[in-house]
Amino acid sequence: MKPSDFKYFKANSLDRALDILNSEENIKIIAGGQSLVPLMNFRLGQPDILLDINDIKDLNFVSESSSSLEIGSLLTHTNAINSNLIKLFFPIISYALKYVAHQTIRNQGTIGGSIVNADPSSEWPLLISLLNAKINVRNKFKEREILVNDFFDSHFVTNIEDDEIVISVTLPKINKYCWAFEEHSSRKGDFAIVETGVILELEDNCETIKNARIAIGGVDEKIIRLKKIEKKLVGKNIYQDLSIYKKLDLFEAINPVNDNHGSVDYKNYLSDSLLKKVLKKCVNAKVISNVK
Amino acid sequence: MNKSKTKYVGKNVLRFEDERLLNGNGQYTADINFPGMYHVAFLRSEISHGEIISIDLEEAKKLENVYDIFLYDDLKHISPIISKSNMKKYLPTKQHILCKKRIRYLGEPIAAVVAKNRYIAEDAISLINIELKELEPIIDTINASNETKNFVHPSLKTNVILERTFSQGDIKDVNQNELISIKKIFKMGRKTPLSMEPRSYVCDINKRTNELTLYSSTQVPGIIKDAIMTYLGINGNQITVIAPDVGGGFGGKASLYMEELIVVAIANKLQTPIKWVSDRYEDLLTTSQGFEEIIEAELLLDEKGNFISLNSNVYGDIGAYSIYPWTAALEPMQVAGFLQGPYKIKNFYSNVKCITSNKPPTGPYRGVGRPAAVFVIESLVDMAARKINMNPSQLRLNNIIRKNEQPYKIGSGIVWDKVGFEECLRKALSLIDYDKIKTTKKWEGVGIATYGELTGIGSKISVAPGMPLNTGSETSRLEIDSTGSISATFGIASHGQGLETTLSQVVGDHLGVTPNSIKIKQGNTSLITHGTGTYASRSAALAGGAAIKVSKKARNHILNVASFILNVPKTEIDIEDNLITQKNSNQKLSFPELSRIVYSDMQTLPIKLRKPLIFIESYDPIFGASTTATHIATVKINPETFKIKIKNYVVAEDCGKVINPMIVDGQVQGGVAQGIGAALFEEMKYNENGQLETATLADYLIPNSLDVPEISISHLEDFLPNNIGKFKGMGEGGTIGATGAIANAVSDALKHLNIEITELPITPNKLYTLIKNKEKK
Repeated sequence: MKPSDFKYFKANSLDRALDILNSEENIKIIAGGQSLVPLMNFRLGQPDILLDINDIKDLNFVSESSSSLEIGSLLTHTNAINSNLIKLFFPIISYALKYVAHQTIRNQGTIGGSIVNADPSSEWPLLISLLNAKINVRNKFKEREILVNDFFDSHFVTNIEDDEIVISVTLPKINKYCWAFEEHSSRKGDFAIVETGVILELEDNCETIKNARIAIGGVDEKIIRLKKIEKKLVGKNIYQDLSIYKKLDLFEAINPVNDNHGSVDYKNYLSDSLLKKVLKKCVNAKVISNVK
Repeated sequence: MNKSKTKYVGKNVLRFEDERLLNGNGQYTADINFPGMYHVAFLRSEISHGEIISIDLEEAKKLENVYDIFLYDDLKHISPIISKSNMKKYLPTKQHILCKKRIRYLGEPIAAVVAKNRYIAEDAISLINIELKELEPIIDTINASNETKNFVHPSLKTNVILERTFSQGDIKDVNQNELISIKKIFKMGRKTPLSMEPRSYVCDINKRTNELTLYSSTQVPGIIKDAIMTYLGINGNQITVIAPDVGGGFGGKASLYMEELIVVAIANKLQTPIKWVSDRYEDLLTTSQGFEEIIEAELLLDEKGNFISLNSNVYGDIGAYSIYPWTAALEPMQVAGFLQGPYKIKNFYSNVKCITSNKPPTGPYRGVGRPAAVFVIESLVDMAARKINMNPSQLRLNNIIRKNEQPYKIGSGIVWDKVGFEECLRKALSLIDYDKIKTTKKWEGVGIATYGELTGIGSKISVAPGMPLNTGSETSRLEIDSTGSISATFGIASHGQGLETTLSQVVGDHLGVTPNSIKIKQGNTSLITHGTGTYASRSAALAGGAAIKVSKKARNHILNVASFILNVPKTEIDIEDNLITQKNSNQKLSFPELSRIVYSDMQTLPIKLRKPLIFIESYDPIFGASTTATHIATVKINPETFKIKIKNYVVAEDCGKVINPMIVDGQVQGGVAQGIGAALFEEMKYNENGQLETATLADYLIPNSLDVPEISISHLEDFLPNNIGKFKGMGEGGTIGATGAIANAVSDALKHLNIEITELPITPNKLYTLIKNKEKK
């Protein structure tokens, strides 16, 4: 369990990192290394060059604009959990990230690493799907913005190019909403078997659902938004029981696989259980209203 | 003496080991390096069953800093490893040091690459071209036992390499029509010991003296030394086996491994130090596994709840080879041996088959056979209680072997003597307030498991039946050197039990010195003529017994010497707190003063009292110390996820005289944690293609700290055994009781669905399937 031979570069500026990415082949960016290093030890990943971006201070930030929050790709899970801006605008992030593995891993792992790893049972991919994020990526020559809908391709595959680095993630603010997140794993800290999050955007009366977003992870090759169920919730009063949705609408949308942690049937059951729970929890949650 | 006798034994002396281990000053095998040392990595089979057609080493050998690559042919002078036994109907297996042609399990070593470092060795492995012919893997245990063509060892013409029947009473005499039958098929999943430190070996060579030193993360340095002599032809005075700090074993480090012999053979051949450190993947694949059994069992009882008969067939999946030195008999035979548990059952029948399969060899694992046995009998008892609508605790009390009925020989031949079965059960019931905690609520349940165990066994009883190895005695050598400092040497090999501390407590009491002034030496074959190691809940009882004998002998001699020096009768002298004092006077003698007089002062003592202060004693308890514990667990199942949460857990246990309560509690808690693993989490899953589905710790789940509840532990010290120190073994008990208690608690939590657990581990996924299948019917 030792990695194959590789060269190691540590870039101290974004320009330097982009130069290296532009000029070299078979290169992997390392930030927290929490997923990459095990893969390399198993020789499932054999990069010729490891590009360490941890010293690029420009990538480690949380900032606020009038319409959004922007999170630098090097922000660790621990720092995200502790960020006051994130707590204020998106407490769901602070809550859900506590489910990421264990403390030492949360201290190392970063948002950029988590989303480019594109594990469909991870928390950050679910959160950015739920929050309609835009992912800002850059290569040596240009910067572009990818909508989260277009970002994940499948299991561990995204639509960013080999010469690009994720710079940041932009999360549009939401006026008046309530939220909930639930996850089930075999043990605390394990990968989620199923994870699900809900955001219900409300009308000014704080009761009528203006817009519903439901994301579910661990049960398909990428995070799934349950569009059919989302649509049916629009216009409903949040004090109604929202968990009366058609099971079929859920089961048609997801595509779990048999593995060590559960059969397809069990994962379907679990998805239904968690979705009911998360909707109930969301309805009872405090309404957030931060946007001036 | 009377006063000092319990000065240290029974006290929470803080572990001496912890200072070095917690400060990072421990030294494990992987920490040991020598100048000029080469590293070995193994090319391992990626299939479970097959034949090697060809191996091409050309590319690999060309790689810079690859020094040598060994195949079977290069080491064929090493005869195949054969684990011998005197048991009838036993067919030993031949295990080649590297695969000769046939591959019998996933991860079996094929080639040993020697290189400058592990990275390069692994690079070379990826350059070896190997052509294999795949054979149909033999995975299913029952199918393997019935197989008529496909054998793990074709020359044996069967996969059943050992069969034995235990029988007592005659079931034909019993009118079965009037009896209630509880009949089930139980399944226990295959486990891996998973110690924190994976197996590691470093062999150093001293070219001046031509001596080899093997540093091995082993529980049994004495057995390994003997095996090196047997298989590599190296004389005992040319090889030392040292177990430095060892990070857990749980039985997984109690057997001989091919890698261990290969490291020594290559160091000897290349005349350079050689190192191999298993990575976690190799550890999961190749360390001896445990527990895979299918047990068909039937308990017959009358309507008043008296047990009449227990019949069973045990199918033990022992993997590809009969492990050295314990043999294939070890695990499956113990299932039958302990199946009857602590109950009076006149009629007993058990047929045991030890079956080979294309999986890694099974070996000792904490509890050996008994976690499965307790799961089966204790489940049957609870099922019977439900059937006749009797309180499970009452049904146990009705049938339990009482104090005045001992010694009591159970159907397998084991004799229970001086065991407080009833007392432990009652203590556990009151500890958890059983009648109050018993619940009719859905999804909540309580489960009892009570068991009998044989520990600290002497030479009359084999650890594994028929095994030609003396595991029944321990030797201790106590020395007081010219400076007056005391050391005591043992053949055991502590690997987390804190034996350096507990043996110091025992010596301290019996010699009259403080435990921290004694140096305990162990885990080193050059220090003692014979010793096997630490396993089978034996070290406290056996080494503790030897410690008492040798300390008494030393004390007596010191009193003789002091009597001469102080010129008073022996009876007037006491030894306490490292001081030799004349009672009712100020006359004192310290150990350094005594040593100076013995060794350096040529005038004070007559010659016969000037002999070196070296004392040797062996201890063999001949038989074993039977013991018991009762575990009671309560669980709550979340019907949304089927996650099983253990709410309360109590253990009332009897380890005889407690040497160090804190260490005993730690052992019980650790044992229960492993039992929770066996009951709820851990299973090595080989699919029908022979591939391992649980080859990482993301898939092979062990309980973490949040899955292990607070455990209330109570000790019974009223049933002291016949051995010298009145110590009973307790290292394995935690694991033994947990499987049955948790299985019963889960079944109780499912009472509203009439579901009874017959397969462990029981996971949320399996629970879901059980419940859905029930609903469909």
